[in-house]
Amino acid sequence: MKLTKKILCFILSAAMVSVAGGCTKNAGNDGEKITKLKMILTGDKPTQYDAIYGKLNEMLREDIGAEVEIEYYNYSDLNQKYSLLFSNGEDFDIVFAANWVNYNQQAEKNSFMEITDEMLKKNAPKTYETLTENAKNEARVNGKMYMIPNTATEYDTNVALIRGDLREKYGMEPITTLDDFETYLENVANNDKEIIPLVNLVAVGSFWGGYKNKVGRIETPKGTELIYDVSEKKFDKKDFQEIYRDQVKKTREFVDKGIIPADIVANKTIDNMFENGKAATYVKNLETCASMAKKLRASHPEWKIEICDFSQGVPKVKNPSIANGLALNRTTKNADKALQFIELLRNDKRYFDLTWYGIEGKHWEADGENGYVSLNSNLAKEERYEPGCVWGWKNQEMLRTDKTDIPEKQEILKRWEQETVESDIYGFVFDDANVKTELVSIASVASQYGGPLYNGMVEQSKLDDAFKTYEEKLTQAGIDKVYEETVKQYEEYQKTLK
Amino acid sequence: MKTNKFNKKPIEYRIFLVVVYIFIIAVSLIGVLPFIMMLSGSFTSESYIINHGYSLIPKEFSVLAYKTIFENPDKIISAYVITIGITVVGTLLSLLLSAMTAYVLQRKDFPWRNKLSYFIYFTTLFNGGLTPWYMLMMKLGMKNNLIALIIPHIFSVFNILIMRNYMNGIPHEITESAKVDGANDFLIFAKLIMPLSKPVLATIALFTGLAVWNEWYNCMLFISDTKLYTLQYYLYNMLNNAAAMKALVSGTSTDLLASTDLPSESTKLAMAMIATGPILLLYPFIQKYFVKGIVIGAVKG
Repeated sequence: MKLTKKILCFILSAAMVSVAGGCTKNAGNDGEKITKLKMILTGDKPTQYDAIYGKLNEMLREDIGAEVEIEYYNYSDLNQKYSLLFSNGEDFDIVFAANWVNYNQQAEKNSFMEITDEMLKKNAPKTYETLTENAKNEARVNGKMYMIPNTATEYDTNVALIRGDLREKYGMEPITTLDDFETYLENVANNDKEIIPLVNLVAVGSFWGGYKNKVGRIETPKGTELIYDVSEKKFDKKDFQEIYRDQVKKTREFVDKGIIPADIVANKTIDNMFENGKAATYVKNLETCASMAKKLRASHPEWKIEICDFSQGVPKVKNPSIANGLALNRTTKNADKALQFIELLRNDKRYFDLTWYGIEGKHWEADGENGYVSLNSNLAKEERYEPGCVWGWKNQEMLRTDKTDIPEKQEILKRWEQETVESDIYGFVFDDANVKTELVSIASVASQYGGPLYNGMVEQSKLDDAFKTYEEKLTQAGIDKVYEETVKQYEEYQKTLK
Repeated sequence: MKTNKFNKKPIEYRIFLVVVYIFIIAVSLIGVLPFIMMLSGSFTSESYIINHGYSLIPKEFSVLAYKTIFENPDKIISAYVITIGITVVGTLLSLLLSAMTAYVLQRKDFPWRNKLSYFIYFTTLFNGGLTPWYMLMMKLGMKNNLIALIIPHIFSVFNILIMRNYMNGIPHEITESAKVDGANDFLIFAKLIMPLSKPVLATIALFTGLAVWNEWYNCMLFISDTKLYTLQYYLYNMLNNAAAMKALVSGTSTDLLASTDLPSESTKLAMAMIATGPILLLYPFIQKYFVKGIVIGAVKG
């Protein structure tokens, strides 16, 4: 009896398969062939990978008849493995792509499949709608788009954390200006000998070199010692400018005053100093500072951590959209399914919430329409969900704000959004073919003569001579040629925009 | 007794001994001190290290670093099992293959032994480079395959040459007399040559064992499954991953704290202690063969 039932069952399901075979949209049917997608991301495999992506695969089988398997490439040898990945013609469908993992170079080498508007309209219509022309421009290499860039509003502007308890001890009002900040640093240097006032040299460059003069400048092309002024839309040679001399002089002044230790460049533990009470300031991007402040307000409430933003009034440019994104392998056979999958990741709240925040009720709880509260801290370490490299499908419309974040973070972000200016600079990709030799010379001059200047290693009295030498060496290295080439290429690029 | 013996020796010899001992002590101190520093650092509290630096004796004793590591020991245990496994298998295979090759190469009645030796030696002069090698290994199905960690180590030309030189020193008459008694080649190799080659086998075992124990490069290339990570690669990753990520994304707006845990200084040192411990204990057992094997293998060129 049982056997007959089984046979009957088998025949029936076989019949269903043959019926469903012709109809691709009939997803979720057991008989339909499941497409296996392989995606390559960076970083560590999340500890909760099986739970999260197991659930994701359930939904994915149901929705588009596919399954995904993710392989994670560690950061420690990312560049080497990343290039081997393409040289070997390995079998995968989707790969994380970003300007900081050489997106442009890989695209030039024809590693990725071109993503056309038609492909997007067919498989990922919502994604197609959310991609602005500017974002697409940034993702284009030689006129072709090879990645789906993320659409998030982010800034790399630096902010500072300070110790409120120290500030009160010195009888100071809350710090709002750079002059206040400098007084605070001096106070630390004079009164608390065992605490280092400032350990991040980058602070001097960002704050006194840039924000103080209310200019937004981006070093571009990278490593050329050229800068691009965001509001004036012009390039300039960095080290011939008063503003950078001021920065260098400030750095040296701080070294002389004992605000920056002279040997800080050689110190490998500077990032751990603030949380261990060894440093009086912490200077990083907003996300990192906010999360450090949150951590320390919980573990050291007596420090009264305060966050200072000195960039008010400085014109800001959003980070390039190609800072994170997803690309397709040139040889993938599942381009359609892969794009459908990316569409779900980016624009379907179920997928986005699951991959970004974990399982609702276990790892997070919704708080309002776009907010959430992370429950990670209540869980054992191996039960927590650290999403890792999910930035490839970051989408501003889907992002939830963490209600446990420090309140200042959203205030600052709101202000920055108002100060944001439109810019096409990130879509500009510099082709260094004509100036390769010059760039190598500039890099070596920059480290030999520029490094000591920026690190505050040159004495105040010798600074003018050092500036002069640096300028001469840069000229000899051919910075003028690079400058002209950059300006020329930028003009050509701007013509292609219209 | 000992002092008397020492006193009887001529004065020059005594001075010589004193100087040599002082020198050796100084040299070993240079080797031992960093290790002690590492040991002590792993037992010091993190805030002390950041505020005051390392010291030879832990000033603020703490086992927190070891606690953090062993809080979640699955990964380390699996890395240990993998590493011990490939070390044992790799070393045994390597010994067997190298010994057999070396034995054949030194047999006087093997007509092409010089040509074959040269052929083997020839392969050490150049190689195909990383990409072709990587492609070959991938085509052979070495992705996430532990064999990929063993194969590159089991046939070392350098080891074979040392072993052949050593076996050259075993009198040919032994082989001949065994043959007269009716032993075949395998029996001679297994019952006579292998036991007589113990010193050189121990040396080669140590070389290979150490190489496989320290294996991380092939693991980096071919292994992506975290469950198959070797101890060294696990360590390497733990130390470098966070720093490498920071360097890569430093220009972006990524939250550097959330994405990867930056290991504390004391955790790094504790990890290094855990990884070096076992192989350190192996040395004293092999040492007595070690010097002998190298010297004999080298001199009889």
